[in-house]
Amino acid sequence: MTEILGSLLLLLGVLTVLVGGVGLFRFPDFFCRLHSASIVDTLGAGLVLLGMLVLSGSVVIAFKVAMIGALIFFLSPMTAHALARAALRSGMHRDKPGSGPSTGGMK
Amino acid sequence: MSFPGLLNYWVALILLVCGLIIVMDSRNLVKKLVGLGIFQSAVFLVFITLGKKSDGSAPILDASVSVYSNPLPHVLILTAIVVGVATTAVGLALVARIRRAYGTIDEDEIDDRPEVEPEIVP
Amino acid sequence: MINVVADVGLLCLLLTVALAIVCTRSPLSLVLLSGIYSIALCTLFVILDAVDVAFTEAAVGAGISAILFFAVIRPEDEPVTAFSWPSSRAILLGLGVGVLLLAGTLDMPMYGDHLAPAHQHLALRFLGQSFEEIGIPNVVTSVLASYRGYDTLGEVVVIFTAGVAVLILQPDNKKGPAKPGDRDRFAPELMGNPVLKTVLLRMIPLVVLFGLYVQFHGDYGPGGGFQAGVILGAGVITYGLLSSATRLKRIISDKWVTLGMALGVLVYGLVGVAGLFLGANFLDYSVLGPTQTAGQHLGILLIELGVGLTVSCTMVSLYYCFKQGES
Repeated sequence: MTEILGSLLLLLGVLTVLVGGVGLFRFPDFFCRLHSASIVDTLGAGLVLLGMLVLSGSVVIAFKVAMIGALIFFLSPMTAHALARAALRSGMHRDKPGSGPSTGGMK
Repeated sequence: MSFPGLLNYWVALILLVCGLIIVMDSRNLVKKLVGLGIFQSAVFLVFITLGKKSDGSAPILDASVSVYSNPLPHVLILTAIVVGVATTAVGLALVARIRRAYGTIDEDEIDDRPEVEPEIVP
Repeated sequence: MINVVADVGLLCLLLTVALAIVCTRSPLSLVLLSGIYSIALCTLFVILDAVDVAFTEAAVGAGISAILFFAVIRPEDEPVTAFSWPSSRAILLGLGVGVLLLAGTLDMPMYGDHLAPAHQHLALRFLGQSFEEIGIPNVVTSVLASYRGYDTLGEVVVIFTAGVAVLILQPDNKKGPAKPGDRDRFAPELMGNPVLKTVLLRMIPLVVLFGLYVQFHGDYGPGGGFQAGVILGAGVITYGLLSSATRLKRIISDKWVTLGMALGVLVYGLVGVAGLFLGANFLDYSVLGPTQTAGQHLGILLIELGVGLTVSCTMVSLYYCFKQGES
């Protein structure tokens, strides 16, 4: 039972990462791409960790996985925020054409 | 069993050649240091691949495991990585010093200015 | 099976990133690409069962070395053309070296071969007898700290020497202390960002706690002085990045950091000399305790402390030196 649940969560997480990866390539500008990248960071990693939590046999390992999850829960939205803010500060705007990361980003 | 065969060594070889090309070709001193890092990491990859045993486990003794990979290359490379970052730091400090003396870190631009005396004044 | 798939995939990723580094000219992109390269390499090390090495690579390659590179590169170094192929001379010479090395690899043992010469002599002894002789489960730690303790002493001295060399190379600061407002050049608004400040300030104690866990858990799982030193150093440097190097220096002055660098090497050496005085060889810890394994435990704990102290202080000292060079 736990094995099926854990595998299902892992599979869902991997699918989310895949969707995020496709979005990273397909979206037009920096902010859209950041949106899909942060899905990989939070939901994808979160689901994979939850699956590992269910599958982990011992309490010690489960505790370690939960710690990693808590760290990612706080840190990855923060990174996405910092990136978006830095991009906005350096003059990157959504409506400006050609302001994607392929132009180098640094002025 | 025999599929990866020598693939890891060949990839390490290509990485080593990449590092060599960067060090020979690049005129930017920071890029040369990055190239040295890639050169170094190719050597790390060869050592760690040598220590791998198929179906082995990490060399931390446990009652439920019977096959362990070779711990000796791990020890050598672990210390080499930390020593590598320390020596890279020395290289970066030299680059920063060159920038203070010449105002640039591009070798071509440094070569264009032979009149700067070799004694570097801080 | 799954290991082989992951191995081949990560090798492809490594090759792609390495080729991108060959063709990229922008220093900023180079530093970011080398971070990606390190993460891929570290995952590959996990696949190849080298968990301790992967741990070190993650802390060093993706953490500390990016901070050091960022301290040296400048926005005005960015080239007009971000991309260029290497010259044909360099490619030809590289290909020549590659062909020679290819001939050399044909004699190598296959991936995962149990009969490879490297697995026959020392490794068997380490895996078979280290638990009786040293008494700790992590064989990498017992080889690093005890069997090859002399070698590790040399490595620690090399790190110490590199730290001293960077200290010598740093510019004179007799013209006056650094300006109070010095911040990171690539992240000028780091301090003014309330979200970053709130989250990271609460993370720093956790990072330090994790560093101490890695330091003292190294006997039983992956970890040890080298990794813990880098993690502790990174935790301290995070505070410097968040406020400023000047404010960090008010908490941990550079004199203490330099002293810590030397003290770590001294602790390591003194443990070796203590063995000599108790009638054994240099760096033989068996005589330090009532039984052989107790002595080994004590010796490994002490020298790992020395390693951790030297590595963490060297990392912080490197950060101070590069910040000094900026002003």
